[in-house]
Amino acid sequence: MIRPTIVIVFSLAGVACALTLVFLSMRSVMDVGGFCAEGGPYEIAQHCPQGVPGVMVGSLLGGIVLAFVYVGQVLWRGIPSLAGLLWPALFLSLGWNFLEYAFDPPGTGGGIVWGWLISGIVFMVMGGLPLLVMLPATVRAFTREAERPQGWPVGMPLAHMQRVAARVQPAGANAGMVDELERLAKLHERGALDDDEYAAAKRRLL
Amino acid sequence: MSAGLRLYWLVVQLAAVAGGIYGGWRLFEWAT
Repeated sequence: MIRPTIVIVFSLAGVACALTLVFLSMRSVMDVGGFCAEGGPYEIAQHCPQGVPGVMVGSLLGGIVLAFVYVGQVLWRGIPSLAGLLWPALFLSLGWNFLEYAFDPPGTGGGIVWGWLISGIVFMVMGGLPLLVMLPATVRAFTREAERPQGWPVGMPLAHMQRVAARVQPAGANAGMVDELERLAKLHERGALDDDEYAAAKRRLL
Repeated sequence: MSAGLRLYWLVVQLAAVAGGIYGGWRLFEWAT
């Protein structure tokens, strides 16, 4: 209990930390016009805010690694989790930045920045649509565990599990019928059932 | 999994998220 708690707390806190850093880094770059550069042999028109390139690269790479650690842990141990909300959190937070800066761009007389507006809408859709599925699934994972068949990954939509379960069910039923047919055949061979009884029993079963 | 255990994991993970956001904000302030 202690070990998984430590791993999950540190990995999830790391992911949340990384998402926050990406969010803030993006805002600081948009504050200087939306693009910047560092290094290389070229004359740089717009330098990046101090420390931001390192923060952005480090948080993206670190966040991906820690997200894999977190998701792996909760799936492996069957722990209800917030894993399904990570993707929406990333895209909705960055989409918010795009939309906010699209309507209120820094250093200009106003007006809408259409490139940022379109990017914001795309990001909102990419984060919002999965959220419609994953938010109810996450709430369910923390509230109604009984509905979840044992061994299913937490966060998988219930409707999908039910569809798969419906496909699995007939296989189980058929397996039971085969067993029953074999049992009837043995009874028939032993003479416990005559031909008519055996045929009638088989008809009932089939 | 019991209701108590599910509540435990919910609280633990929400606390981790809150701590991570606060830590990220402080880290950004320090690094930039």
